[in-house]
Amino acid sequence: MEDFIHIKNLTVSFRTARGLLRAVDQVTLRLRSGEIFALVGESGCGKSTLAYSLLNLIPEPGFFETGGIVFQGIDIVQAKYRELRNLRGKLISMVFQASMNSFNPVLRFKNQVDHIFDAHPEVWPKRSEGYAYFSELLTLVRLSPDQVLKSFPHELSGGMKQRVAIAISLLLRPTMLILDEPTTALDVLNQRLVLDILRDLHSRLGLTVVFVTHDLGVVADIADRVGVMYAGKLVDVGTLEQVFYDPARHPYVTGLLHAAPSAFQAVRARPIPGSVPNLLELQPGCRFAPRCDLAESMCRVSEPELVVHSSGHVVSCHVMSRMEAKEVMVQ
Amino acid sequence: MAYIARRFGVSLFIIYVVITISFFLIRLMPGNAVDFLYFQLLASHTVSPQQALQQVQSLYGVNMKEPLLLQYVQYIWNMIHGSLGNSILYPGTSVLHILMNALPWTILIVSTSLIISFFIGISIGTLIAYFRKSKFAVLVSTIMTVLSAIPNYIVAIILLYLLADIHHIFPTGGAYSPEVAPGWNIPFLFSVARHAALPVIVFIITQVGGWSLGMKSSVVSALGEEYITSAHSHGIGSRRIIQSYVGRNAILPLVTSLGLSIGFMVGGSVFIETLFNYPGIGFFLITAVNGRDYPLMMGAFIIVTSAVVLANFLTDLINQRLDPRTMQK
Repeated sequence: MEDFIHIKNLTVSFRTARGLLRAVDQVTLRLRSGEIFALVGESGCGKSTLAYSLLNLIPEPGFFETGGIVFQGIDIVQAKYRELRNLRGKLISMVFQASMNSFNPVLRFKNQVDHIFDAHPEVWPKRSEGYAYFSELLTLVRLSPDQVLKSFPHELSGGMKQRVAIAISLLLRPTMLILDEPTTALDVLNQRLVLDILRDLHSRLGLTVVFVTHDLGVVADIADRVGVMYAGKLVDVGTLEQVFYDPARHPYVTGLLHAAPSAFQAVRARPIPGSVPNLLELQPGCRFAPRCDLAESMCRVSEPELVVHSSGHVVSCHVMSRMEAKEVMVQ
Repeated sequence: MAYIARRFGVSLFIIYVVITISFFLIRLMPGNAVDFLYFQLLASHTVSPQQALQQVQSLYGVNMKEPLLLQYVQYIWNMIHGSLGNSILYPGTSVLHILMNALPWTILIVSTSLIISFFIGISIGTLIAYFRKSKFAVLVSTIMTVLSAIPNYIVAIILLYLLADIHHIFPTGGAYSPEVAPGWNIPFLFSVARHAALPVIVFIITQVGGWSLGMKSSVVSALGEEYITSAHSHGIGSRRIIQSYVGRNAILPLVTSLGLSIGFMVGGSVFIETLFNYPGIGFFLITAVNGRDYPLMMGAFIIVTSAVVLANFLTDLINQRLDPRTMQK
């Protein structure tokens, strides 16, 4: 399959009083056209920062230290403001973590939708067709178009706003949709509804979806491929099958899976011992080594590279790589 | 509509309560004003007790030998019928007449300076919020902090000395030159503008700091809101984001303070109007206090109170237009 978007050796850093904090550290990742890619990790692992990078929307005082993101022949990291404006919303769009807060509280949805049409007039030359499409999208997310358009944001519930945010993100028919924890702030029933809607929209519109979450249950439900981040590093990339069942997966992923509570499992959730390292005080070697059962002396000396296993599963772990016969560096 | 009517009713009630409190405070204070005036007249030995009583009565529109409650009812009754009694310092002139002549001057300088300082302030505030890391913005912020900390009468004295006393660019006082005939003619309006200029400039200088610092912090907190990032993620242009997303939301708390300022500036223009001999409400209030002109003082209090309450009422209505979250059904 062809590369849809290619993240090359990307480092996103934040200037802090105590030095440079690398929230995303030399991440290389290829996304494929039409897939649902889940980006998984604990809070603070850099997954949201990576997602924001795809739109060049890193909050202050963050900046791109190295690397690039190639999408349709342009490098998003180097792109000029005009190129970015053209890209944002039209080619790649994003649904934010707290979608209930992602609407201007003093404007009706109608006005906010108008502003988006105004920003990209070439997508819907006839405004009425744009509105017809938006009504269609609102119906898909199970909302009443007339009611939503004339409402102010505070007049809808959090779950409804989340669905409006999803509909608005698809307004300009983007080829890629980034969802930053779209279900985290919702109750279980709304979570289910949003996931069903997303799966439905994905099969109808065939867009590429990046789904940022810390919820492995949601990942199992919706993702084609999964990338796991730990302390700013991408440590494991594979298909849903590989990440959940391949014994050669990264030990951190194994830890995560054991730590996830399950209503149907008899075994008790086992948390990973220790805690996430402070990104400002990193020790040499593998970042997960202090918490890893399998860690060897080598793990505390040199940092492992991402390695493609024969199965196609990509893992950055000295122990797992040694078990594999074939070792190929990820480009 | 029902809400507006109810809110207006509440406003009238508040004004009524303040009038009542002022009335009884003046009368219940030891050595109260009415007695003071009565005994002052008696002590002058030029009038009989009967005449003194009548004089006091005509001044206040109240018969002071009657029970307090009855006097109060009479004051309110006279007030409803448009009479606030006669002034002591300006014999033969009704308080209402003095105040109605003074009010337009106060409204002129207060509203002009508020509008100008508000718009300059929010523009500066937005700029220094956007460029808050730059040295220039830090410098401007510091200047604004200093300006907002200087009392207006100090600025007034400095400007009076420099621009009126030494350089004669502006007149030292009054509302217009005695050489021009009041009316809708160019020389008169020009004279009014020249006389209003210094008080207005003083207000602008001392108010602009507060507005810009308030706007700065409001803009900075609006910039951190998720809907700003979200607007950027849709590719909406910077100018529209500044206007309709950042500015539109950041200005809400300032509109509330603007309403409050209108009310308080009517009362707070006392120093400025006195220094510039400007015949507004504040000027007559201080004159009344100095000359123990209690009917005039009482009337000025009523005007100041009404201004605060009315401004609050209008702010409420404007806020409802600006912020749908405060909308009342």
